[in-house]
Amino acid sequence: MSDSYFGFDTTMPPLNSDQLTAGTAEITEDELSKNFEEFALESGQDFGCDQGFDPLADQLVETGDDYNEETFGNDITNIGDDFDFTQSNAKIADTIQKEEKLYVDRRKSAPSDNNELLRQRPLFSNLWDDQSGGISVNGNGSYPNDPTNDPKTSPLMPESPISPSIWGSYHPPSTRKESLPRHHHETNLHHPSYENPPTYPPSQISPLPPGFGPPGPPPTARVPTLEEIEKQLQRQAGQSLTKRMLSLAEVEAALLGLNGRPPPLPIYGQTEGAYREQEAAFLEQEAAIREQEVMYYERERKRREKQRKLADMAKYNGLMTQNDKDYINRIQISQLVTDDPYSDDFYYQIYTAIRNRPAQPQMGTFSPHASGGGAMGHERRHRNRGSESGMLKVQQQVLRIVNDVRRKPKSTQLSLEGALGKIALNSVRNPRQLLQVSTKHTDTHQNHASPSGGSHQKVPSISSHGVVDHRKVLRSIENIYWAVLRLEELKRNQEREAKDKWQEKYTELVNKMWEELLVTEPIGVSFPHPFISILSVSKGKKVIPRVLRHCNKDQFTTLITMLVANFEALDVCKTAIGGSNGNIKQSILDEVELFMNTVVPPLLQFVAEAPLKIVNGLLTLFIERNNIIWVAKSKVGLAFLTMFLSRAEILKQGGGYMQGLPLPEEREIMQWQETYNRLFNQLQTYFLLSFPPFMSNIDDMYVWQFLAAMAVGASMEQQHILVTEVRERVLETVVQASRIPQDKATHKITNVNLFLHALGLDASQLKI
Amino acid sequence: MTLIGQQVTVELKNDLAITGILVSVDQFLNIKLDDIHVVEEQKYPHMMAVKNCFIRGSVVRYVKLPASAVDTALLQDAARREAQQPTVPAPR
Amino acid sequence: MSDLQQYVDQSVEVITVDGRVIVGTLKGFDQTTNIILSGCHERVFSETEGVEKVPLGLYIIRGDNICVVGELDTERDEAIDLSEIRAPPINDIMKR
Repeated sequence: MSDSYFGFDTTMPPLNSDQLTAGTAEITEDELSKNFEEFALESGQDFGCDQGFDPLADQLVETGDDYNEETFGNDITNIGDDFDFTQSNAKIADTIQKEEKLYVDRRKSAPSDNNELLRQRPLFSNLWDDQSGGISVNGNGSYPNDPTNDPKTSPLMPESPISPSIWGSYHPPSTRKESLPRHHHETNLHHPSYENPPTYPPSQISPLPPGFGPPGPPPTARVPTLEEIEKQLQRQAGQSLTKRMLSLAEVEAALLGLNGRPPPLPIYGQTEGAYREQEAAFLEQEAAIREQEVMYYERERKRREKQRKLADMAKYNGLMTQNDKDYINRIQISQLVTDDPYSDDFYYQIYTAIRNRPAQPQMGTFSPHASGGGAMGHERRHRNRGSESGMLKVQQQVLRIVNDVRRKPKSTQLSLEGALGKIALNSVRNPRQLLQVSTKHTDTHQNHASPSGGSHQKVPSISSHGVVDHRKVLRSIENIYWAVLRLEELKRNQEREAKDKWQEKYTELVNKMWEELLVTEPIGVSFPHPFISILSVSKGKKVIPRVLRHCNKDQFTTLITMLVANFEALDVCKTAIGGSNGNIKQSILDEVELFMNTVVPPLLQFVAEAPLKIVNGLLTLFIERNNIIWVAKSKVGLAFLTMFLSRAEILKQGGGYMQGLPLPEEREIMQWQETYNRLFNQLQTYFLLSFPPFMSNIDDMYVWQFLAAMAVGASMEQQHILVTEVRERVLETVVQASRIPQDKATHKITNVNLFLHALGLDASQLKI
Repeated sequence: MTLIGQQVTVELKNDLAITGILVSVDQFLNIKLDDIHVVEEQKYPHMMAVKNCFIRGSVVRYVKLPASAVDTALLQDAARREAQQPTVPAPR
Repeated sequence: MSDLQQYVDQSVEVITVDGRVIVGTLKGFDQTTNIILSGCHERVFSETEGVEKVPLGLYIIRGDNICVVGELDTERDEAIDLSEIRAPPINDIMKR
């Protein structure tokens, strides 16, 4: 095959003008335009000619060729006949071949299209076979020489059955060569924008419009009418458009063949007015059509450009396996995983850490109201930070990464699978902020309000003029929390930091926390004491066990001393004492419970390790600084008394030996006995008041416990007094127990026995 | 996240209350529940044949959580942390 | 992530904010819960009559208007005789 654009050997034998005009004599311009319109309709393409064609023709200046210059350029006479299509083709042959190749490849990758193409081909040739009587058919017998059928032979159809010998059986008169090149030359020169010379050959041999040539002999039988040819062509083009999506180029080529007819022969000096008229009209049409074609070419060029780029990129397809992609994903995700998962979702991390600890009793609920629950929960959580914390952290990180990986592809796929839009992933992690809090405005407040502000303000005096500022109390509590949270975080990160530095930070924070507790505030400046005020708020109570975890012995001692010294000012003491009817508000009872569950346990722990000297001192202070009769009416008061009494008793009996404490000295025991006697004397005749109202539903176990503790340390005489005082209560309880359900009764009896056993008695010995 | 798998009741602004096992929640408070039933089945038989559902967050009035599944003290701590270290620095 | 992926191509019941009940096949959705329902019909609940089915065809429902999207258990749904059900329509979210 030659280099020709359409696969023709364009060095065709020339035709003479007689031949050219001969077959087309009966075609009128009207027919031509009609044909074109039909083509446009059939092919479904709007060539923009409906508007441009007829109206333009109507508006034609009927005289002269004034516009010829405009249309064709200035110098239409100075045209050389060096116009050689073959040469031009040769110049771009490479490109054409490339494009051909590309197209073939693409075609091959779309086999269905290809089949379609093949199926169409015979149809196409059949069309021409039918015409074989009237048209000169090439050697293959399937294609006419009329290049207007060239859609099939365009470079987009490289498999075209057209052989180079297409012209072999066609022997046009040798004179043609002389006349035609000139026309083409003109067209090309005068339409510089029309930059695709190879498209011209078709038009060379297209039949001429009527009257364009000198009147020739009547059409020979073997030349088909233009109309026929075009109709077939139109059908063909229409088919190709509707049947094959890729036939744009074909259509275009068909269009070229159809309309690319150059205005042949006008420069042959035809001077007849009719001729000029027609010529001008034809030129106008052609100009419009050409414009259209240029657009097509431009579009086609862009499309191919894009195709080439895609094909170019396609060679990288499938370079990465899913594993590679996962690997990259993991690298990216590792960037998202923070060093401290706690900063990401603190609640989740801690919560799962608490809950997921296996074989942990009481795992279900962490409620501050459950016995010791609050302290337990936090303790549990703290034990995590120990040796296991490293492992745990790793586990959590791995879990997070896995979860992330699982989530990531799913959400990206989501945009492909069913979603109408894409989901911005960062919005999940970083949701749009709806509130913009002006920092400027809060700056002044921040120093005070947010401990993170750096200037961690100490509240110098929690009260002014002796009146406690509740707000300041709350602020102090938050400051304590801040310090505690920081301390806890520091403990979690203990292994990650250098020991010295860590210790330094830790000590600093502990000191800060200690300051915030306001324990060392002088007594008597304000009432109640700031520390007591803190303890009178429930979240202040809750923080105590967590505070105490970071306290040393001295701090512990100071804290409990301060507490004991100001005990009666505590809300749980002050307000938790029922009047004559014994009604206490539920909210206060809750506070009492909270206090018992948060503050008492660590203090109990402390006292349980304290030497007798300290216990003695604390009890002395307790008695001296508080109205002990009053305090003994409260549950917490009794709890503290019980705590001291039982500890002292254990120490007296040498229980401290196990803890590495020396046996209490004689002097200490003497002192203790003194203190005990003071307590007993003060409480004498008031013991019964410690009980909650008999008919109330409050469990009075704590009172029996206290009485038991008193009884153990009591002398015979004191025991006698004690028994006499509470005798009624004992009897009442035992009688009551006989009337209530078994389990409750047992509880009641057990309570009473706590006391009776301390005296060496038992409820069963009682004669009612 | 810690509540996934728990039975919750989601009350909607149209007074419909749906109880079901929490499957997932997202940043819009869109909620997915499994094994659902409407609290007042007699009054609202509309969803009798629905086994699981997606609830648009914008129509949620309340979500009732099992108290045992929420660690309020921890939640307070988390809130404190949040307040201390604002994740997005406010623009000046 | 809570999304509607699992409901795609499933028979779903959608309750809109104005209390309408629309049943159809979920064809698509996006992050704002805009959804496409194909072959859907509305179920009009009434206290005096049985449930009326109003054919609707293909619907796109804007996310704002959606209250609940529930997967319909077709077996269970078929077992229910809708003509026997008397129930007030679900409230409009805006009405209070």
